[in-house]
This record gives sequence, structure tokens and C-alpha cells, in this order.
Amino acid sequence: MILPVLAALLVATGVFLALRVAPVEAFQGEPYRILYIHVPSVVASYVAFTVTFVASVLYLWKRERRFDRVAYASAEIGQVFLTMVLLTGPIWGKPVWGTWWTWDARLTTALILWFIFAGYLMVRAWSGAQGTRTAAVIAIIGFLDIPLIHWSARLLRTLHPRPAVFRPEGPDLPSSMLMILMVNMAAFLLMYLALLRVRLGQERLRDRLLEERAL
Amino acid sequence: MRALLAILRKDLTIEGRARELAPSMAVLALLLLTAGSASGMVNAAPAMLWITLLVAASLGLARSFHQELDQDQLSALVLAPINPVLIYVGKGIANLLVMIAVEGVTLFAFTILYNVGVPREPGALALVLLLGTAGIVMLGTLLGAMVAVARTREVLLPVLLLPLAVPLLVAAVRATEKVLAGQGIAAVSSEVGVLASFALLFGAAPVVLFEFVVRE
Repeated sequence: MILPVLAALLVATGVFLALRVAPVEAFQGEPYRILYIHVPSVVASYVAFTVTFVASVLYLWKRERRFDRVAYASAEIGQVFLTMVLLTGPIWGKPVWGTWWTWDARLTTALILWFIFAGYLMVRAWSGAQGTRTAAVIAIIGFLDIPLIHWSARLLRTLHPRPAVFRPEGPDLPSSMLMILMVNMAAFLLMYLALLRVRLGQERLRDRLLEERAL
Repeated sequence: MRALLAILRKDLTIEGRARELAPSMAVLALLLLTAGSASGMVNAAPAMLWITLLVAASLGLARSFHQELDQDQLSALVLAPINPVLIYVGKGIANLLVMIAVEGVTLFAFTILYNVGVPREPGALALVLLLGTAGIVMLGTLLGAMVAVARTREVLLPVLLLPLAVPLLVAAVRATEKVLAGQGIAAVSSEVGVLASFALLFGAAPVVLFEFVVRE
């Protein structure tokens, strides 16, 4: 119980710091504050999908149900965070780059990853008990595909030159901003853990229910 | 090796007699090319070609394993005292041959409808086509086995195949564009690199993963 409360408190603190305490960025003005939501969401979703990948490998290898539960729960939460990334990104991009979307390597990778895990969740929804191994295989090949997506998207860049404001290494953050970003990062990761625990509990319960019904 | 040839022969015989996959894939490909040409996609010919091939493949490959389920033949195959990967390889080669046949028709129509001439380096185009097709078939055959049991396989296969195939699509379209514009093999080396890596990844992954897909 302590984990969700702590996560909620930290997220609220993070949002407050981002909106009220963080200094205005000289170059971009107020819109930059979405950074404090956008970047932690990216980190949380990529952590979540990495957990799904590792759990999927372990599930195929050890054949233990608990790994499959972790993979499923983590993928779902990862998809929620990635959806937030894809929504906040364009909102930030429009005022700063002058466009909602550009086929930059990282944007492309995030979008395609969203589609891959949409397929993953559809398999889980439609294939029942047989779908668990299929889903694990999708998570694995999807994860292995990421470097290739990134590589191929870099070929696109010559077709679509980047707006001058876009800096691949990100803005150099002064420590006042970096601290607040770190708070938000911690808050989002804590929120991920809290949600993961809730979803795992539900999945465990479902498995137990199915077992007892089978008896 | 004998087992592999037996599986390959079985699949080709079935396709030869039932003529289920190749004709429907070819007609769909022709329709897509026609629709694209009629709606002014001539300027984006390479993109149209590869999207057509991907969609046609995803239609055919969704069925390729499903036909094994009819009388539970897949279980029989899996029970056979052979390495299960051979089932994948045999099926994959059969699918590749079907796909190449479909591609022959598609390319013929593509040349006419999109007013494309023979490029200066036909070998470069052939390499791009072969690598791209191999990548699509290798990934698609694995996915086809995975969705065979799902109720919604006809929808599920494209939903899984298209995003995973994005690197292939991007590289193949750009390489085709350059080669058709008269550039040589040297100009498309990084695109060919992506295509080769893709084929390598999805040629190697099933060796480890296929067993988990078909095992009961």
C-alpha cells in the first residue's frame, strides 16, 4: 500500500516542481516544461519493455507462469507510458520545431514500437492460453528489431532534414532543471513499479481462479 | 535433408493442386498496384511496389500454416522425429517460391502501370528484391505459424508483420528508388546492409524460437 501512495505523492511533487519551480528556458519559453513529463515517460516505457523482453526470454526458457505474468503486466504499463510519450511529443514539437511530427530516428522507433506492442497486446487478448508463448516470441523479436528500426530510420533523415532547433543530444540542462527532471524520473519509475505490483497481483489472482475452476 | 525435401515437396504439391495462395496473392497485388497507379501514386512507385508486396505476403502467409490445422497435421508434423526447425525451413522455402512467382506477375504489371524501364544495373535491383523478399518471407512464415491458431489471424498477421517489417520497407523503398534512378550497387550499400541484417536476424531467430511456437 505504501508504494502507490509514495508514487502518487512523488508524481504530484514532480509536476508541481516542473510547473512552478523550474526556471523558464531561455530558448523555448514555457512549452519546454513538457520535458518533465515526456522524458520520464520515455525512460519508464523503455524500462518496462526491457523488463518484458527479459521476462519473455525467461518464460520460454524456464516455462514458469510467473515470468509470463511479469512480461504481460510490464508490457501493458509500458504501452501506457509510450502512449504518453507519443501524445506529449507532438504537443511539444509543434511550438518548438514548428511541426507535429518528423521522421527522426527516435520518433520513428517510438511509434513503431507502439505498433509492435499493440500487436503484442492483441495477441494476448485474442489467443487465450495458447497465446502466451506467441506473445513472448513477439516481445523478443520486437525488441531485437529495435536497432534495425533505428538504423533504417537514419536513412530517412536525408529525405527529411531536421528543423534547426532540434538537437539530437538534447538541451544542455542547468542543474536547477536537471534536479527537477531527476525527481520526475524517479516519480515515474516509482509509478511504474506501483502499477506493476497492482497488475501482477491481478494476474496472480486470475491464474489462481482459473486453476481452482479447473479442479 | 530428406525430411526437409519431403516437407517442401508436400507444401508445393498442396499449393500446386489447391492453387490457394499464389493466385489470390497475385490478384490482390495487381489490384493494389492498379489502385495506386489510378490514384496518382506513380510518383511514389517504389513505395507502392513494396507496400503491395508486403500486403500480398501478409494475406498469403496468414493462410500458409492454417491449412495444416485442418486435420491436425501440424501436430503430426511436430510429433515426427525431425528437428522442428525443418518444418519452418521447408515451409519458408515453399513460401519463398510462391512469393517469387507472385513477384514475377507483380513486377510485370508494375513496369507497365508505373512506366518503369529496366534500370542500368538490373543486378542491383534483383539483389534488393531478393533480399527484401527473403526478409518478408522469413518473418512472415514465423508469424504465420504464430497466428495460425488465433481466431483473427487474417487481421493479426498484417498487424504484427507491418511494424516489424518497417526497417525492411524503408531500406527496400529507398534502394529501389535509387536503383531505378540509374544508381549502382555502391550507392545503396547502407540500404542493402539493413536488408541483409534484417534477413539475417529473421533467418536466425526462428532457429531458436520456432520450437516454442509450435510445441504443445
